[in-house]
Amino acid sequence: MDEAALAEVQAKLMTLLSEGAGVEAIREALGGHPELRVWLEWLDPRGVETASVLVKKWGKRAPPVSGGE
Amino acid sequence: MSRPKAGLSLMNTPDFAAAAKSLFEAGMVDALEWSFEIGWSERNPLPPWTESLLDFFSSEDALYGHGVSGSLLSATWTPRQEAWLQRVAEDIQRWPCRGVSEHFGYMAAEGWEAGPPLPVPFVEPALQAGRRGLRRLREVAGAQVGLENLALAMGLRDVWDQGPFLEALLSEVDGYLVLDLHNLWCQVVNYGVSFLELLDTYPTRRVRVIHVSGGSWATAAGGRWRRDTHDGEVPAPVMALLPMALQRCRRTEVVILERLGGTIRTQHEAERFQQDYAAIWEMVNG
Repeated sequence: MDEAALAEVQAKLMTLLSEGAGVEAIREALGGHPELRVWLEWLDPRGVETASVLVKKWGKRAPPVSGGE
Repeated sequence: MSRPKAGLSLMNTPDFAAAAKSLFEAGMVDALEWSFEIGWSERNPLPPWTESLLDFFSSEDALYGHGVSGSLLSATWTPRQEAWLQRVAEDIQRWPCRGVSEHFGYMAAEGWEAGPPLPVPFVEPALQAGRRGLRRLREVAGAQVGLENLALAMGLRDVWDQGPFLEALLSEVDGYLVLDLHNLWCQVVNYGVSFLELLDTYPTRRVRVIHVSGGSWATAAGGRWRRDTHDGEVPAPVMALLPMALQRCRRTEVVILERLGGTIRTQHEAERFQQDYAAIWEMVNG
């Protein structure tokens, strides 16, 4: 994986989360990167759902300025 | 090793001013942390009392700068980040800081100018991106730079990788760790891991700043989930972690209480904020 591939992964992940994608959809979409295999295996539905809620809430906007989520 | 100080994350809101006033007047606030972005709102220019506090604590070498939206682990360095860096540089020129930190994670990507901080898998290009971001920040900081640990973990791999990832990032610039106890506790309760086992995966010798804050409970995928919302009092289990953390992190300079401006809505909440701070103050001065 190089910088361009990581950039693509980061953008794709934010898009998937904004669409409410679950663990399986994320694994399928990003599964082409062997370096992410273990990370994808260990994804937790609660963590993914929380990330999705946050991206839907704060995506394109700035988060709270004290540094919380 | 000198005793750590106690400090506050400075907010520019009336509720914070009212709740913190007695703490300042009692001489209990040794240091301030300043989130740069608070001062960048064109709609809400900084009130004079905020600027006076920044002037004073900076002149006392007791001001810590803290960025929120730098997104240092984004894969590509963008013009938006360059503009962010310039604004940070301007603030630091006006209010020199003892240290300047940002957050682990990324919040910007192609097509996404801003968002919440998200975890990043521990892969080589992410490490290189983060190191580049820290080097850029160090160029303007005029002080040591650091990173704060992130609460959100999308899976157990994020939980166990973050400490070693932070060490790999910070070693590049001999940087410091802002250890947020509530963030760590979120992972402890969300994933059922041991606090001390997890803390021992972090570069505790790099900790100069400890954050203590509150958060909130939510439901996620049918399960209970702790979130880092900065909008509540410090939970007793988090406060109880502080002595253990101070024991492990012997180079801690300051313990900072964080609470989001606008969330201290009642007299009772103001008193709880003051009690939380007093508990921290007593621990570091006891």
